[in-house]
Amino acid sequence: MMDKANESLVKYNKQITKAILYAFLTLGALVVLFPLFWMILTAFKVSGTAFKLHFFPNAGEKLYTFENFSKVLSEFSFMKYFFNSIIVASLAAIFATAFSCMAGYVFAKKEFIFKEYLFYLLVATMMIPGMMYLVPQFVITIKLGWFDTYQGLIIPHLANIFGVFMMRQFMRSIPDSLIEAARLDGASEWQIFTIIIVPLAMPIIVTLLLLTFLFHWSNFIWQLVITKPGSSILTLPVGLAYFSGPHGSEWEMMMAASCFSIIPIAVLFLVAQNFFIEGMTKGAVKE
Amino acid sequence: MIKNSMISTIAISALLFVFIFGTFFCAKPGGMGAKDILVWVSYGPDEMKVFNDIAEKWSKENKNGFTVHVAQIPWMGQESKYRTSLIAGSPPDIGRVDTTFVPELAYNQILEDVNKFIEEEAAAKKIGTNEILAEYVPAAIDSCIIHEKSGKNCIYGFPDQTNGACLFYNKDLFRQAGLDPDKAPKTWADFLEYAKKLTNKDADRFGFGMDNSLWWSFPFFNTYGTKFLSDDGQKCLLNSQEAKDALQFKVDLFRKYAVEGGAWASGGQNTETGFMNGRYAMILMGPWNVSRFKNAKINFAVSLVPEGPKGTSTNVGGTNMVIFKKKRTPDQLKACYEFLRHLTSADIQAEWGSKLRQIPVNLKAYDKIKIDDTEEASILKVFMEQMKTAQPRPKVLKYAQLETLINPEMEAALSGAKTVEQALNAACGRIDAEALK
Repeated sequence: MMDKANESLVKYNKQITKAILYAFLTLGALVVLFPLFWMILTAFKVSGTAFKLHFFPNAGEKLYTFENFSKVLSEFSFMKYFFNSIIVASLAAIFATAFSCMAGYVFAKKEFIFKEYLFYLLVATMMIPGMMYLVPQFVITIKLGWFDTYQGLIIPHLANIFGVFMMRQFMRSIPDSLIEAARLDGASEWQIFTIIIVPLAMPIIVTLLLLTFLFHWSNFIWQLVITKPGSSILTLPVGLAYFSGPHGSEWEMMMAASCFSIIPIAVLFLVAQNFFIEGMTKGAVKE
Repeated sequence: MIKNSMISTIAISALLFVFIFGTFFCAKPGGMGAKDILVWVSYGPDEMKVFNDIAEKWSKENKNGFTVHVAQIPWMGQESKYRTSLIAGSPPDIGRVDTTFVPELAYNQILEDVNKFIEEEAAAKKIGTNEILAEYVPAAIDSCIIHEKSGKNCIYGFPDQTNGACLFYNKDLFRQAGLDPDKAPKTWADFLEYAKKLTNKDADRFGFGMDNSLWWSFPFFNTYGTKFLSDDGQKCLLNSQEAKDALQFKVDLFRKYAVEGGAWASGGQNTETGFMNGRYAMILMGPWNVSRFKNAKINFAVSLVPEGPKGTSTNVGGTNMVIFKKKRTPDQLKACYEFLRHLTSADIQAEWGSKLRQIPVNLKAYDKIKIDDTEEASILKVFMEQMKTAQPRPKVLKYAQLETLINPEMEAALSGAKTVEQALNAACGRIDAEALK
């Protein structure tokens, strides 16, 4: 009888704990989703009413509209900016990740003179704010004749020290015995890298790919300065900036365009979420 | 294996593709000829339409055969854009810049002084050069004039847009408080009485919502007759009695009379939102929000900034059109000047003001504005009237630095951490040491 009572008490306690946990998670989810909800709501609002804190229209009042979306697609060259951003962010993310992966492997598993010094020298450059690079990088790009070109948008950012650091740290945890075994089996260096290292490092590679994509998808200042005004290769962050003026922004239009602009990021995260979560938590686990 | 090598091949091919054909899809560099003028502007969509029309008509009608090419740049990040274009040696002929950016560009000697063209025009018309400058809103043209240490006044372009703050008030809330909605407070004393009547803390309603930045404090300082800098521009005078009285009044609105709703504080509801939601009955605001408030169906009116000991006055914002130094023929440079004079002429400014409901920079355009909507016309009239007594901003190399130095001190006074005197003395000390050294 007592056991049964205890059992039901434990069950009851578990349910209470679960309920509290769910309540907190729901609250957390609401906090996280609120900006998204606000963005979508504002995208449907009539011009000038973004900050009006009433949500139900009075009689005869027009508070919501689809006009912002149609304007974004018709008057604003959204598809052009979107297409350019896809090209720039995808290529930059793919190649920056590939180069980081290769460099990370070399720093993790190869031996050469001054390796450690060189690595820490590279890591030290991460302490220099990115804005400091803007002018020298701009001048070099101009001298290469890449002003207002896809090369100018993509290539200057392919060397990603943070990516090299991430890859090196992860690849150090891959046992050397695996590489030696592959070598004994007659695998070439390229085969070791592509068949052994890359599959094992896939979670961190996908994580870096997503982070780099995200960086280039929202990189405003470089994409602004390296393109000509009215250029055919303007990207989305620059395009969205046209909605802002000296005295505020056209929030409703900007939010409508943002609704479209988050689609690729959302799709990427949904597709790669398992890898991403694994990659983010990998470093926390100690063998 | 096959899959891996395929991926590698595709990746390497894509990289090569970008390297080799990256320029293929891009617009080819549009070579500007000897008869072309490139103008960079950061207008919104409505303004772009009007500006493009003006540029197109001028290109067709100017007798020397010059063509104006207009390129739109975003307002945000425009200073970086100008800086990098100057580094690359490819600035536009004419650029629209914020008035506060002009001193920095002038200091770096990258702007054309239009003085000699003004003198030539004045000589041709047999008038004084001052008569040409007098066509413009005084505070607006003043932002183009830089006093050189040699005593010479250089004129870097012309203003293309000007604005300042006026008093916006909610007519419905006036009625509810028993005030006449057609009668705005004339002086700061009246304003305080109105604000007291309009404040109802139980209903979370305040007579006034105010910003704390230096720019938004100028209407207070200016109406009290505050002089910001000494004549030689080397000393901050913001600890004068006039400045103390002005800031004290501002502080008292919040701390002593409690008629200000904390819009200035971080986390407070800002003035625009608070006005739209009926939390603040009165705010100082510029013309750019008139259509926003109208769209939001706010029943509001606009009046002059209440008078202080030195009458009514306001702050000045806006943009100037400047001509960048670059390799060009003298004819091209003259054409740039002529285009700017055309853009800021009475007729064109009247067209600009009528179509866009904006304050013309040319005073002669004031009487030529034609707006069908009588309410909007009357609002614009108030702004135009206000601009006649607007005071120019202090001309320092980095205006933003002034804001950075003084705003925390004013906030300390508003929050009670410092007295007004302590705050202004500290601000002046820092401005002298850091901004004017």
